Amino acid sequence: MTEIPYRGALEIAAAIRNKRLSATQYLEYILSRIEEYDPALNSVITLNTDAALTAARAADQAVTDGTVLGPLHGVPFGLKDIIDAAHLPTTAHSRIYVNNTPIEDAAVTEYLKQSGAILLAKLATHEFAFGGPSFDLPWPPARNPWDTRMFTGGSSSGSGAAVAAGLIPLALGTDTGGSVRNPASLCGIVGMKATYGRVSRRGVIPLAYSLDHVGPMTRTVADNAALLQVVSGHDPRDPASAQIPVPNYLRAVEHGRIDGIKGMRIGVIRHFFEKDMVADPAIVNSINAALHVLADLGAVITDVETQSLQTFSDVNRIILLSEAYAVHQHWLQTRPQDYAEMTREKLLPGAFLRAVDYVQALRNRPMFTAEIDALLDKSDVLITASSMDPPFPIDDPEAVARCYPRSARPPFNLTGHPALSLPIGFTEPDEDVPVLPLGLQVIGRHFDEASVYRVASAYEHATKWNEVYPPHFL
Amino acid sequence: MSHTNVTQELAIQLGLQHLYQLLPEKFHAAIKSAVALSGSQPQPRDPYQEPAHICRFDNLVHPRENS
Repeated sequence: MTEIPYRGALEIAAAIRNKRLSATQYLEYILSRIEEYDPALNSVITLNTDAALTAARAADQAVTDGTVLGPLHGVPFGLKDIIDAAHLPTTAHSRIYVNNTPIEDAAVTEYLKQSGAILLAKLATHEFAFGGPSFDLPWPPARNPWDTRMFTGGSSSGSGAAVAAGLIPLALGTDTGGSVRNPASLCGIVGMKATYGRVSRRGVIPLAYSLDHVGPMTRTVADNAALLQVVSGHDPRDPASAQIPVPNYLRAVEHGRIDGIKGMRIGVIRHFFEKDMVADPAIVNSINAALHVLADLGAVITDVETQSLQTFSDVNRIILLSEAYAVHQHWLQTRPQDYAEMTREKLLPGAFLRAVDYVQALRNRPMFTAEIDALLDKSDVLITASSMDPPFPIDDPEAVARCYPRSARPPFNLTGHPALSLPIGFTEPDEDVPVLPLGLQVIGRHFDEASVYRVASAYEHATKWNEVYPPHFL
Repeated sequence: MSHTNVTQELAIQLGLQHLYQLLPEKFHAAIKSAVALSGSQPQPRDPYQEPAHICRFDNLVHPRENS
């Protein structure tokens, strides 16, 4: 059996259900790990200790009583601290919201509790899911468990760090330009941005209304599918929520693991990371190695082409900056000193974009979506890079500023297609820096997260990268 | 009017005078960044090319329902 801190959520849920593991004992164990390790990681903003222990005891009692149990019964989870949980602060990692305590759960929090999962922690983020790893906020930035000198990626930084370090088996992040997939790539875990509209955004502090997605972050593909299953579905209280049936994602994971991917067509958007933006050789080599694995599993791999990465990213950025400025204008006018310097600087260009820029970007959006749809007419899934560079020092502001544009994630916020970041190995260690994780993206048709999971599951099963853990957090 | 004064005047018009005091040197860079972004995206010319809409009238959530 996997080392206890790195056991998957489904494995833990099964053990609790079968009375091989007590939810309370597991929670106490996880709390002891957080106490021991989080001072080095800064992944937690608020611990929900007392309520979580009460819920764990109730979970154990329900098992004893033979009550019908939810799929994640007794499993602790964390929320990026822009997602509401009733009566706990939602700080957005910001002075602006330091006293913000909602009275209602976000939709996703509500669904997770209904599944039997136990809310344990609110997790660090970049300020309002947009700033960066700032050192001038009430809480320090989260650090990467593979090397705590390194950046986690963001903005779901605490979710990435906590899951990767075995402090919590399940976490939710949010993704407006790549904020689930970036920390997933840099921390070596699985992060899914499902189709826009698949997961309710109700009770989540907005960054950019038409680009925001809530997404699961886990150590395995199966856990990711299980978490997405629980939080997906139509929510009449989210105006962007889609009324599309949710398939059985775990079946897709099993399909990939047992039956494989023979005959599946995979299109590779190679020009994103070899021409439009030249990725670090470690990334390119790892993607090529992953494509060999997928070909060996029977997939048919073909290079495909679309608009340049920069064009996609620019359109996404215009929409993101315009909508984010609309959200933050009042506070930027009245309380600018309460933001981190990095956040103020990143929000400011939104003040100078014109209405016509925003409308033109929205007019470009369906055209770009159709381009990706056309690629997916001929491929079952697409693959491209996630980050263009491996993790780098968190205290290097130039590297931090450079990393946000150096990614191939924003196109799929713009087009709404599901996109998953999958671990594909590690950098070569040297004297000063240990191994650091690398990732790629698998992209699917709208509302076809199942095919994405099938491919990811087959690859994970063949390579077992998910069974390598950060050496200082065992 | 000097370059600095123009930028400061714009900040005042946008209600961002406090922010300008904190980040005077960043305003010019932000304007340049916005102009560059504006020029870099394709400019649709077909008048029938509609924007992507997320706001329909069959799915509006009244603000009172969220309060």
